[in-house]
Amino acid sequence: MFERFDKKSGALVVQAREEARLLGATRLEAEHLLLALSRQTTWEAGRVLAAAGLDHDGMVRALEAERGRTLEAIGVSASVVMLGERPLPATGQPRWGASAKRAIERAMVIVKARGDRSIVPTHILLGALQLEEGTLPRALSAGGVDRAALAASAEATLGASR
Amino acid sequence: MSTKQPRPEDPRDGLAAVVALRELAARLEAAEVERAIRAGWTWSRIAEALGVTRQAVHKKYAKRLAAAGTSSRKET
Repeated sequence: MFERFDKKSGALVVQAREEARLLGATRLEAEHLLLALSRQTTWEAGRVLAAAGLDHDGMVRALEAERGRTLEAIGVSASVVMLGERPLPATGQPRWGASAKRAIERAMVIVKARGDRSIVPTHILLGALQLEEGTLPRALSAGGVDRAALAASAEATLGASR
Repeated sequence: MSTKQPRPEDPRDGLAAVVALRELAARLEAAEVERAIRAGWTWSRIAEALGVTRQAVHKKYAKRLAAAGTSSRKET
């Protein structure tokens, strides 16, 4: 699955695992891929995210807004949510979670359809933006992000397919 | 059951609440286990309070707490 990842995409996965671990998560999920990507402000995909207000702080804020809003809807007050508290990091490597796997699968479909040679971070971003349900799309909408517009500007940086 | 308890109409919101609660429970558990260890509780006592085995709670948290700089007092 990963033989077609370019160097940056490989580094992205490593960083995403670290994002998950620091949050105390045992699974690497799609939101961790974007948290990692949002740190890479010199990469095209990172620039596209930052332009949509999703630098690393922006991503964290969007995720917290989603969690707070979702819990409040079932009557769990924000004070219990411990949004500000630093989570206890996990030890060991987080495993692939369902949403991250799905994002990578979508990215591979995009790569194939475009006839691109390798999977670059922008493909992973596009794959993640295709997720319809779950934490990531909800966080993006809580953060006021237009997923379709973001995907369009990400796709524009890939240039013409070969 | 109180009918005043909010329950989202959209299954999407209800399902997301399950995800958020799982994460909240995990974070709360980690924070409380850490607090108990700092307060000198034994793993056995924490396990009993959580309703799990000592092995389970120790396996889940001993390394994490040590890595975070929280050490338990003597093993029991």
